[in-house]
Amino acid sequence: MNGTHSASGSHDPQTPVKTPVKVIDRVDPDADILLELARGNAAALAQLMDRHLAAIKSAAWHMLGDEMMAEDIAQEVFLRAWKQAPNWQPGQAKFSTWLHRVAKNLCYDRLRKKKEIYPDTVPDMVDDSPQAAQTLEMRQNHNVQKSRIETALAELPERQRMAITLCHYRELSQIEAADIMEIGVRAYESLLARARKNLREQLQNHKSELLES
Amino acid sequence: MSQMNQIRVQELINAYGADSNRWPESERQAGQAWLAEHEMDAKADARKLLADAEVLDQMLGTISRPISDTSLLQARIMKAAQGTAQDGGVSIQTANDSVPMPAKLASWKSVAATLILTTGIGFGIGQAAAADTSYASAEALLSISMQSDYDEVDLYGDGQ
Repeated sequence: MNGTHSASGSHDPQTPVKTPVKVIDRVDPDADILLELARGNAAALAQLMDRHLAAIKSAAWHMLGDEMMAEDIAQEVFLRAWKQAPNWQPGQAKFSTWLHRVAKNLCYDRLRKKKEIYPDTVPDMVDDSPQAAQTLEMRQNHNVQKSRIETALAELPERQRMAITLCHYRELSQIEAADIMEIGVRAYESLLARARKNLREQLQNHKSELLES
Repeated sequence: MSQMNQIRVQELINAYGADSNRWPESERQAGQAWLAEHEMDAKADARKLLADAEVLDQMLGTISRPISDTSLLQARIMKAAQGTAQDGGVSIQTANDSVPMPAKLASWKSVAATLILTTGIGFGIGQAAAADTSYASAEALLSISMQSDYDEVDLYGDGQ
């Protein structure tokens, strides 16, 4: 495990492999914890979770839109951190970046599996039929709004959704977010622009309704 | 302060939204200054773009997930970690494990030495060679498993 490697399930040889080798010259704020973690110190694992668990779970939730799945992802991320801590090589990526990368790849895997199992199902798809409209009327207005926006987010390609999650919900800097996504800053910016354009298009018809509620 | 123009301001708004706190730090000030300067400029499409982006920001804000209490999840992960050996075979140490790692290793060494002595008498040199082989196999297995972890490189190109 080191900063230039991410943790995903599989590798597509058709796709060019990115090797964003970037030496981080600042001190990793988690360096002290990592030393203890590598020695099998449970308190260090707890400390690491105090610092990053909520953020990782939140990012996974925004990617998957599901509390239990987000918790599963967070658990897997920290178990990997625990397991592989003795192999950590400092000085390349920050450890928190590595944690987010693992979470990102696990989320992608989970989304793909979901697609394989339910290929025609989009979660909480908004239906404009009269029956669906009646159901919607029974909901609270803000729930309708949330549902539409969650649907629009769920329909984004996974990398665009991740970019929105990191920028909008995690509020990370461009450099950190691009590092997590293992792409350049310009590519990250381009993903964000495409994501926002897609969201605007999807939500265009509901704009006034959404803003009223 | 970086060079700013209408095109770049539009790019920033399109990518990061209306809230300049999300813009790259190196361009934030220049972008804000450009917008302030062109406040009344009807030709500057950036104002309309900014208003549209604000709407989307607002929408996204409605599903922002507040960071919830993670103590239960943390306990679950600690429990799972207790049953998971680290790479290199280190097992978890809790606060109750007051014996430092070198002392633990020393005590393990003495146990191992006793075992080797007692079993060595019965088995002889041939068994020692077999032990070497199994050690080599274990090492190879560990190496393969580590490689599979490390080969998890990014699968995706820039475009999507």
